[in-house]
Amino acid sequence: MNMTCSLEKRQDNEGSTLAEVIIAILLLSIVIVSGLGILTSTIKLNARTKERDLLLESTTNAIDEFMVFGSRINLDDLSVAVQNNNYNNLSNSFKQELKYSNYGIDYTYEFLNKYELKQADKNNEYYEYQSNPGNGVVVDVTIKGRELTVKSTRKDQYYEAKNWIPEKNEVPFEAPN
Amino acid sequence: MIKNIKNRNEGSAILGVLLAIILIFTAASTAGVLAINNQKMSNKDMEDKSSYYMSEYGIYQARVLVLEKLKNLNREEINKINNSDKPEEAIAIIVDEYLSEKGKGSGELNGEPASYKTSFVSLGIDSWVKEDIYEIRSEGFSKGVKTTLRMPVTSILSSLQRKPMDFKIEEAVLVEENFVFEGGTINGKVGVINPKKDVITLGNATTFTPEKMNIYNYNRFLATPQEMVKFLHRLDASGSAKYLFETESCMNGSTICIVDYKKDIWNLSTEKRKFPTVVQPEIPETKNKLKPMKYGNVDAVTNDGNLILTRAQWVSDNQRILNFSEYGTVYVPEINISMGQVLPIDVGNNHVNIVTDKITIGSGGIEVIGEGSLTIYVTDYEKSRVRDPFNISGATFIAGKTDGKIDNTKITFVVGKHRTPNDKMKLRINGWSGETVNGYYETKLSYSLIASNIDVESSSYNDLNMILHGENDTLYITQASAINSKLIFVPYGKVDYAANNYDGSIIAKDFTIKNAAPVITYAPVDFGKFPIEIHDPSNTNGGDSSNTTITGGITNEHDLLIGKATR
Repeated sequence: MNMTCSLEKRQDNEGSTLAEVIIAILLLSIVIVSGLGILTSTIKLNARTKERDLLLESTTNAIDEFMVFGSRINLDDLSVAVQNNNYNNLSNSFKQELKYSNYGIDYTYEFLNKYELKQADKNNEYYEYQSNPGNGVVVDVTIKGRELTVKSTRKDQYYEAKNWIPEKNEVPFEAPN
Repeated sequence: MIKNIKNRNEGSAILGVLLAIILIFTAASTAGVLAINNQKMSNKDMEDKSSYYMSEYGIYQARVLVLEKLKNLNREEINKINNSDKPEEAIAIIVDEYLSEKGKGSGELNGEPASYKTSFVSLGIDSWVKEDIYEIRSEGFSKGVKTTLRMPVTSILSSLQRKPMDFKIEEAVLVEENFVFEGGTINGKVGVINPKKDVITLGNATTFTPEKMNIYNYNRFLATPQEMVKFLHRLDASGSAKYLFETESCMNGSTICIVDYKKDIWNLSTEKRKFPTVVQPEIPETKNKLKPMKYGNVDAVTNDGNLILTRAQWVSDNQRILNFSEYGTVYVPEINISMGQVLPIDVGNNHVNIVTDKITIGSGGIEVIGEGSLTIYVTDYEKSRVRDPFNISGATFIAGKTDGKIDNTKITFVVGKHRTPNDKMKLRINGWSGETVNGYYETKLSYSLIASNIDVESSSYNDLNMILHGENDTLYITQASAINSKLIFVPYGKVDYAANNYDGSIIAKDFTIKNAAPVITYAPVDFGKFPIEIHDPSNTNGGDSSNTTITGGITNEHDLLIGKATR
């Protein structure tokens, strides 16, 4: 009796094991494929997010810098200083302000080094700058009148933002974090 | 036994797989959710930044536009403010309308991509704020994210240009201390506020026919007519010795005569007349420069923003006019006009200020067109380092017109204060004095001058208001000068007048009129037309600007307190 039961049971289990294995393999395959898909998408999404963050950071840095310098220095003088990469082109009053700023001088040198003047039209109040802050990002800065446009590009992605450069020292003089 | 174990393990594969699936799924979905959240946060960060920048864009641009409007209020707007019970609200509405007109205030920036915009920039007054405190508000949008920035502005109303403090002049001559009447005729009231003893002197050849003569000093001169003689003296025939009047009427049939003073000469009833005080005009500060402009085929405005017109041009009228109506205050380093060129400047309905380091007008000049007016500030010597910043010695035409008539209040020159009594401004207004000037070189000098220490030496036609507001300034107008002005105002200095007819008022600390020829006849003066603030200490509102009439926009943005933009 015991023997019969064992045999019957064994037969049932043997059948289900095969199906079980097949289902398991199928499920596992689906899950692995899906998982790989999700993983790939996640990696891509993260990469894209990082890229966007990079573009955002590049753009905001450029906006903050031009808001600080553009509100203190005549825009034409600024273009000359960037072109010559020369701190001496800046006004005495601005240098004085730098003197009392904790990190202003380094910040200014860094700024002058970072940007390249691409175009300057004093009469039409139009200026174009460019910088390559790294990681393949290109930052294009356009100033028309007092309107500031910054566009950061990397591969096929870009982020653009605008601001208005005030004529007075209304933007706090702070180095980027 | 082996069988049993085998049986117990059967089916565990599916469990293992399910467990693996759960683990993989959980891990994958967690990573996915994290990635999506990261991206959402990144998007949010991006939109936050974009909306913040758009808000900043709006508020900083609005700041420029608000100041631009406040400097260029037209007459209609000024009337709205003056006639409003709540002038602050009127200001906010006017500024908001201007912001809307410039494409802001009611909608997004024209031409901007829909993904980001700035809108609803406004100058507002909250119900809880104190008087004359405002706020520039700007809302920046980026997709669904909104950032609002606020920038406080105070003292707009109190910084607007105002009329003098109800100061009215009814006298042909109003003197504070020393009045020497050596000759000539005064037709109108004469007031001496605080006469010094023995200094009201009548000359031998004086014909004095006042409607009435008021001597205002209630502490010292509450007096009977007899006491007046202590203070009125006349010269003898030689012009040297002085002696007191002894009679109330014309004496000895001489030329010295005081007519009909019995009732009016001591007008000591209720009025307490006081001498005006003056707030000196400040040179407005601006970085605003003229854009290069042509005048006919000549660059009247050079690339440096100078206004140069030194070549003869024959151009049609509509080519001649330079439009300044867009400018509130503008810096023009140098103005040089000669060769008979007359430069018409259209100021529209606005009051336009030109700040210059040097102005030279030879033969030729300026004409103001429009309902507004023009003030030309010539910076002082120390600032400009120009040896002779104000030189109009050969000018033949400086005029403004209202309804086709010459109006000498439409152009006012404010000349720096560097000059000392030894460094006088010599006005030889007409280089051809004595000639009959006609034809092209028409002489029409018609303007107002705010300066210090002037000698008017020769002028065949001088329609000139002169305001000298410095301590101990002197204005000497010699016999050779012809004056056709309404106002000579030297409240802290001395005026010697020996020219011919003058219609208007002369106000001075010390005043001498001499020679037989001068005839001074009273004519009303509107002080509100001059860029100078005159206070009447008699007015109980003295020093309080809130009850006075606004005459123009702000001249100096530093008068406003503008705070930082904050969320």
